[in-house]
Amino acid sequence: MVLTFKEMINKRVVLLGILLTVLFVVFYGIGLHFVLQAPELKKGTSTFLAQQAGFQMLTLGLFCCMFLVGAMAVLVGSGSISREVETGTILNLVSRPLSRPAIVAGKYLASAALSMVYSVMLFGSVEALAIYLFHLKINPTSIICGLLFFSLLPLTILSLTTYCSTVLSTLAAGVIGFMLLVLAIIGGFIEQFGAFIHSSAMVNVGVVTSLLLPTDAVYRLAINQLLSSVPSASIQLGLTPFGVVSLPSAGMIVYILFYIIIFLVLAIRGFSRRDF
Amino acid sequence: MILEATNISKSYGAIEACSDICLSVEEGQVFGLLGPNGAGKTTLVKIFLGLVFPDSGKACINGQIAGSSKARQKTGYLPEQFPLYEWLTGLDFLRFNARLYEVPTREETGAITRALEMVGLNGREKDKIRGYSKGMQQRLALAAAIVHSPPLVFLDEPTSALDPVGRRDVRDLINRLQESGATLFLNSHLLSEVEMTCTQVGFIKHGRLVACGDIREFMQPGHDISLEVEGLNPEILQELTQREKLVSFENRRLVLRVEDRKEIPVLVDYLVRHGSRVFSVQGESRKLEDVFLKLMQE
Repeated sequence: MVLTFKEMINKRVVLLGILLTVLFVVFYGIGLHFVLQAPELKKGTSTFLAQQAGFQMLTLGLFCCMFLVGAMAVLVGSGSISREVETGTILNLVSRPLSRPAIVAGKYLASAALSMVYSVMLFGSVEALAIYLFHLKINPTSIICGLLFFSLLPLTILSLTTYCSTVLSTLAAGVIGFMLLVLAIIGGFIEQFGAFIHSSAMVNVGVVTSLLLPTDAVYRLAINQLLSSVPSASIQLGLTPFGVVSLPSAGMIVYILFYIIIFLVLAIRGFSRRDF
Repeated sequence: MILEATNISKSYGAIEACSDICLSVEEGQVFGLLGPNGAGKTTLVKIFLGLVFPDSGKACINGQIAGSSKARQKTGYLPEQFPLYEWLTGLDFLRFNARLYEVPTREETGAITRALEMVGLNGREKDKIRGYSKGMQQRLALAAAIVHSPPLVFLDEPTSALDPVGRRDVRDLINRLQESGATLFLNSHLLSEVEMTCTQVGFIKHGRLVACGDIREFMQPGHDISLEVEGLNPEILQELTQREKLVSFENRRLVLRVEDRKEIPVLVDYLVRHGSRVFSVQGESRKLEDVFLKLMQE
């Protein structure tokens, strides 16, 4: 686990990702600043309008965060095992008195811990910027609950990509991870729009994509946790593709937890049976 | 027996990498496994280390099932390809390995220093591995394999990346390890290296162990003598062949097999009496290469 931490810190691509993320936050802040310069908001004539613009920008920012966190988790998870197999460094681990489940668990836990820190910092920064600049009034408990839900996002993707990484090449695992991430995002849009126009078929499409990779469900749950307690935000939740019209069920929460566990078990199983 | 394998078989599709291999190695021996490329040497070692699962058969190391954590605790392994974590320093890499092998914390520094000294890398341990030459990386990988002073060390082509001086150092290291009581299992293409270091050898061909035993048994039967001869007539060659003395005759170089050194002057006298002129006589012990080639061609 410690080695995985060190490895990630030493990887230029991860450092580059973090640098670009900082840039994203900076640009997001600049964007918010310019939104506040709009004449309709600057005059302060409509607090309601300013609040709605704030919530709109907040959900937009969080949606971008969801994609960034997802991409980072794919990047980290898809090569966690397979890259070591491809380079041969895995022999430094599997020939030592370390059980194979421990190797997979160590890699997953290290990746998960780093990704969760990244996730919380990113979501937290975006939330803090929007709340501060637009003077949004959100209950601190909702913020914490929202962040906890957001941190499920990398765990979900990592369990899938770690499994793929134990049985496929890094490239294949990465492609599958990205494809499913994009599919989940598109499925999420279809589901939300379907719920808005009362199309059960469209909602079902979204549910199916969420079964393949429930990242969109995690995102909607997190957004709901964050904003549902704010009366002035509730109207905003249904007006953009980044809000929540169709809220994932309690069953989906259980499914997400099972999804994480099942793919981890499969990863351990796949790795434990493999010849090197 | 520190290593015992019984009826080990492993196939990859239609290719039989190991077929019904039975093998045992006593403590304190240096065992050399010889065979051409693709014969199954590396697969067999990987089965012993639990890196490859056999289709059938079983192996034990120090009484533990090969591949179990307890068995791996008792082994060191230098793979043929030894990619390392290049972003670590040599010291970090050895510390990491010492922890994997559960070397007690208070003994860690001493164990690392000892391993570094054995492979001749002391003084460079704080450098990043990416700055090491190929030979230094192999030495470091070797140090990592012995950092916990294992009773059994598997070395898969341990000198493949080393220059002649490095090879001699590894031979010395093998001798030192043997003197310290360790058992070594060596896979090598370099027959001269095996000849110089091993006490036991096994020959593997198409996944089958075709011969195994004390290296002296393979080297012992007779000495070869090489003579520079002129005027050798065909009848004498035929006579030498019939008496099973002739090994080869090419470009005035006659190689004869003798069971006893006392035969040498008798043979020279015989050649001279039959009109041959002998310019030089050199004694040659039978080389492992001859045994290897003979076994592989059978």
